[in-house]
Amino acid sequence: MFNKLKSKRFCKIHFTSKMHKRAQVGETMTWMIATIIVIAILVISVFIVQIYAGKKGGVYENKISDAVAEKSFFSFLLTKDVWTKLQNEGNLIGDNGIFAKNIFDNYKVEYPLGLWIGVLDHSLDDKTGILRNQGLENDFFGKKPSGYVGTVGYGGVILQNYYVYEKIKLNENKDIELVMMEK
Amino acid sequence: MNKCGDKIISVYWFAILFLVAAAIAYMVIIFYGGPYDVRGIETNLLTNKIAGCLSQGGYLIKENLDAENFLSKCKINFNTEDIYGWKEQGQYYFEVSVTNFVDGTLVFKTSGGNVNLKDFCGKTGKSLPTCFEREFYTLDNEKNQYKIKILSAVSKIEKNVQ
Repeated sequence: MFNKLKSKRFCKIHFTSKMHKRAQVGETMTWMIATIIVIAILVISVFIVQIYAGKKGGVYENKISDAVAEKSFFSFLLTKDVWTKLQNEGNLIGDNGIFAKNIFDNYKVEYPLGLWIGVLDHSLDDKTGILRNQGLENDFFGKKPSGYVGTVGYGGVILQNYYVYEKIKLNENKDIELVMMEK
Repeated sequence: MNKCGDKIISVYWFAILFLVAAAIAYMVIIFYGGPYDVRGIETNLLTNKIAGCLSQGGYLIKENLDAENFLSKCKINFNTEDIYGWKEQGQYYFEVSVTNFVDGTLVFKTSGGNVNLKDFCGKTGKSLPTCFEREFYTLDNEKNQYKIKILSAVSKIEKNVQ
């Protein structure tokens, strides 16, 4: 009976019974609902992607130096009597400190996490014989900030190095340093 | 069995496949096709270039304090691509002022580029030019002290903002 119904070019579907008809309708409804669900999922996905595409972050420049701030630093050290006083006094005190603060205070906005200029002492401790490696605290920039900053990220705390760091040798045991930490 | 039904189902399957593939391609294009805003880096580079032109080794280069030929002396040009009308409307602006560090008297001032961009400095908004201002300290050979202020602005909104 079905062979008789088959045609070579065009298929003719005959509903020969109510059961056959119901099965066809049932299957069609299933596919219609499935299609609607697939289209709905696609529309939601496209909508979500459009939202996140708009919030795509900018480009972060992972710089390791700040040319403009370093120019200020070098000029500060070249200023009359600054270098001599630093070598004699061994720390950033008095007029040198006030002068440094006048120059570098305006960089605090760009480096909110820490801005420090001071002397690093890496002399040998006479009593213990251990090499010191500590920034000397001064009245103008305080304590030298920690070399590592903890940032919560994937896998726990991420440690980052200084953002901007310059060091110039004062004498055998001391260096003058510029430390600037952004975020 | 019902091969006619199978043929219709096949057409439907290909239609659904094509629809899903098109949706995935569209999502990828939307997400990765958007531009990255690099104007912050561009303004920083312009500022560093100008700073390098004005001060070397801690000393002011007085030969470059030439308002008329400042860009050529600093080897800077503001050429851009000829799209979105960028050639007619300049996409860059800079302003330099050199003042005495002690008393604040103006020693030198110059500017260049599209001055209209300066009006947007200080304002926040996605489709606005990016401005960047920095200052630094320097000396001349006679140990006179100076403060140099550099303002840089970059527009190029069409290529950096979605």
